[in-house]
Amino acid sequence: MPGIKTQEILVNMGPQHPSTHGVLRLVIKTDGELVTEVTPIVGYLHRCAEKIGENVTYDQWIPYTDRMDYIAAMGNNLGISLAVEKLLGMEAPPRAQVIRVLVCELNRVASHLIAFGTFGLDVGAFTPFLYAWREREMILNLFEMLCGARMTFNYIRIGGISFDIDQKFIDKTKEFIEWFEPRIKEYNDLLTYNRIFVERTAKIGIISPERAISYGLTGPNLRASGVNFDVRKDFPYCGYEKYQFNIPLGRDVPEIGAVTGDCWNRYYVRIEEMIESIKIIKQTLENIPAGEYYDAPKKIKPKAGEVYTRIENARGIVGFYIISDGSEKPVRAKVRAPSFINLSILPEIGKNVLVADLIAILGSIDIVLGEIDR
Amino acid sequence: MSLNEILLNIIFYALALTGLFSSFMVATSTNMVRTAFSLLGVLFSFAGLYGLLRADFLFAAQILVYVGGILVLIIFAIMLTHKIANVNLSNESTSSSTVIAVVCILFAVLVFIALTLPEYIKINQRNKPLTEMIGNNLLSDSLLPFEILSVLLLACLIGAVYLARKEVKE
Amino acid sequence: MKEFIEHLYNELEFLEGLPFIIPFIIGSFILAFIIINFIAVFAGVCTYIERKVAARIQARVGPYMVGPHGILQWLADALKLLFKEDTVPEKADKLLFKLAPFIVFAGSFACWVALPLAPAFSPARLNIGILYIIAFGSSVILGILMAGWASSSKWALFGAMRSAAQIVSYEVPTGLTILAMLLITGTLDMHNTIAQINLDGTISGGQSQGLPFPLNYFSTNADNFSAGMFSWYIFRYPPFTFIAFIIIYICALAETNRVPFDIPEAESELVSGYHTEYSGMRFSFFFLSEYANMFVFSAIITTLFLGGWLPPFNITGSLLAPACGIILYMLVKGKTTDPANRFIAFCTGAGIGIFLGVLSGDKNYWFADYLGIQSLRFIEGLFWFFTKSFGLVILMMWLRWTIPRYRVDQLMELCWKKLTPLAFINLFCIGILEWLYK
Repeated sequence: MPGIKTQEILVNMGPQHPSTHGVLRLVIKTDGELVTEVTPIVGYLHRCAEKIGENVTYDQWIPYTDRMDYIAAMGNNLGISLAVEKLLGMEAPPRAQVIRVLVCELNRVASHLIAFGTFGLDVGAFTPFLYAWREREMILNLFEMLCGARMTFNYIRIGGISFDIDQKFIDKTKEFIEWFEPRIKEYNDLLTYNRIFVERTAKIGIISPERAISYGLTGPNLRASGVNFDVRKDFPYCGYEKYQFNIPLGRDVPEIGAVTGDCWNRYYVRIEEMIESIKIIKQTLENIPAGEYYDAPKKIKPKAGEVYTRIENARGIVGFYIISDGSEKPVRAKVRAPSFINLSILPEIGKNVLVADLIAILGSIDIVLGEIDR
Repeated sequence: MSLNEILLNIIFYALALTGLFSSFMVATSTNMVRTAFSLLGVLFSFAGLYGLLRADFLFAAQILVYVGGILVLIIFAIMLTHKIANVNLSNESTSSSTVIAVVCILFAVLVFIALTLPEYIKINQRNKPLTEMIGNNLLSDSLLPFEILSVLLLACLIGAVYLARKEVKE
Repeated sequence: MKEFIEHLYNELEFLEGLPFIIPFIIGSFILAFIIINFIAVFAGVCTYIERKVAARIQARVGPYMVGPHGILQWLADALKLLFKEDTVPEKADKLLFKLAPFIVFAGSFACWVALPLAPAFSPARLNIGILYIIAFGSSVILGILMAGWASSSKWALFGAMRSAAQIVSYEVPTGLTILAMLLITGTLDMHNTIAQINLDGTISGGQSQGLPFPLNYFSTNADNFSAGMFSWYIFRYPPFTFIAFIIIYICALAETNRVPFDIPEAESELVSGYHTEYSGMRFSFFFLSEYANMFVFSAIITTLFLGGWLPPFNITGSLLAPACGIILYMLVKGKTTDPANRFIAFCTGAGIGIFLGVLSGDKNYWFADYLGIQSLRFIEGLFWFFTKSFGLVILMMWLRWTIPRYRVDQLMELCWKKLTPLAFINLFCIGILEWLYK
């Protein structure tokens, strides 16, 4: 009918909103229930983490990296440590290398548990969230045993790790793995193959492999689109080449109607990655070499130069770019934060979906605001 | 007049006054949404009057159909229209002389009916449930008009669906 | 209710000179007062149970600090809500904002009046009972729309629109299913619906006189078997009555905005829907009406399908069921630590007990009859009615904490493309069966 037009409503979602995973603000234009445009607005948690890095010594910057991706802080510790080690031209002792892999994988499991739980919460299933929390609590207890901290570890240092592990930790970790492995089946029964859950997530927010690459997605989001790229496999660090593990990829699952790159696959890749991480943890526990666990020069004063390292963290590739002028402090420090880059695809795939789908898409991208705003 | 009748009269006048006041609000309120909600009062007080006349089926149907169905649709339509709450209705027509004339004629007709058909008041004394009677009537004596109405409504429904779908295709 | 007051009026001598209308009005007010308080307490207890059920499902403890096992937590919550500041948003339509919670609550409160709570007792016995409940149940939508609009918040408006659309849509399959059941019961009076069931499997006064195959086995062999729960309407025309039961239960979930249909209050999308802007007592009115509504729908289903206040088993069965259950539970207790297994063991035991009860051919259903105290039937009936309705309420809670929620278009699709046609077919089939077996 001519003359009649629908009025779009401009809705402000956040920064205080239950499902924006922190202080993200989304400005959405809606036509009824349909989202016609979505603009993420970031910066509410900006704490100048990079600028601070340029004003403190290399060692002193490590605690600040904890506070970027606070869900998977071990990876950030590892990233900065590897970067400075590369700048110094040294390598951590073998024992430290193995323990680094161990804690990073444990932290990946903890982080994916949160992703799994909050995604369930976003589509309305409350209970899986608390199950995920229960298991994550055990991992946090392990970390507390290790370094006293539960979230901001400051554990991996330049030249090694801050505390050695003992037999008790190894036993407890084995205990945890024994408890955790059957739980994954429980998650799958409760949520993954639940019909309502599949209807809510399958074929929603599809990201094609080309688009994923062009937006620079990394981590589970990229692999859910079927792109086989994982820094741990392709550019191994810390001796990842020694471990047997697979890279889970998104795929079409016709029996439930999921297609490559949709929300369901992004979710399921994380579940599968937890299984693979457990595999790696088992292998590290088998052979932890004896010897030094920390070996760094008294004064960390790298030669002038620049370095970029990247590692595969829970949310994707964390990159550290550092320019040194030969003093104790970096001249320039820049972090490639995976959440920030992953979020950039939201305006693209969040168009012409229902409000509920937008929430599901946002949940499936799995962002951490501490890392986005830094 | 027994106590029972006094009480019934009190209830009747309370309901009638509520109905009148709500109708007044419907006609004079400048806020569309409030107008719609005032209609709620009108419909409820009429349902109450049906109840008072022991027309139990009409009472339930009034609430079910008018309150639960039609009024909700009206409010829906109002809410879906952009910024309708801010539109200032001028109510110019209230001063129009033709309207006053029409209202006067209607009122006269009502008064005439009320005065010439006093037996309606006797319904008060009847104590038989209406539902069964209405049901039997609808499916025996009044079957044909009932069915014709059904077909008409079905035609309306199909027409509405057709119109709505056409817009989607564009 | 009226009969009860009449009875009192005739018995009590000091009321001699008064016209009947005065004690009637006073009695009605007292009853209304009792019911309104009962709903408040009931909803409070429901929140406590809901939190405990949720905690149990989620491997938590739940409320534990106020009173033994946190049993007084609901009272503390209510007090807290009473003392909360009552905020009204600046841009809100103040009158409608304040009116909305009362309309919602009045809608669900009015429904309670017609529920047949026990033999020969419902607060008001209406001969259009079920129609009355549906009518007043639907007036809740208006309160919700009012709340959503008056809050002048986009989230609240979204929630209200979704809620109204959802409730209006789901009334169609609900109505059709109730219609199908009315074909069987042949009465709108909720009281007669149950009163006409005879526990030996026949219906007196109703349209239907006999059960179709295969359940006629119980009624035709009434000498050997006691029908008990098989006389309920849900077992009348299997599988169509089962389908009707499932449809109406799904609709009840949708109409009370429970998971998986809690789209109007979808926390992750709409903050908390139409009552986002409410606080304190006004908020608690919405809360009360939610639980009151849950119970009303469960009560309707109980009346139409599960035999209302009728006892499900004969006396032997009701005594043997808990006994066998506990015995099996004790046997299993030492061998397994999984509470699920223990629960299954208890249920199996109870099932065996019921089956033994049926085998025994006991014809006594009411303890009241057995003991010879007729007035005990009232308490027994009340017990069974609340047990059955509450079972359905707990099932709603169980579902809430287990499954995710539907999207708004999927919800509509389920209603219009699946439930409504199914309800139509069901109505047709039950109609034909009723015609054949009349």
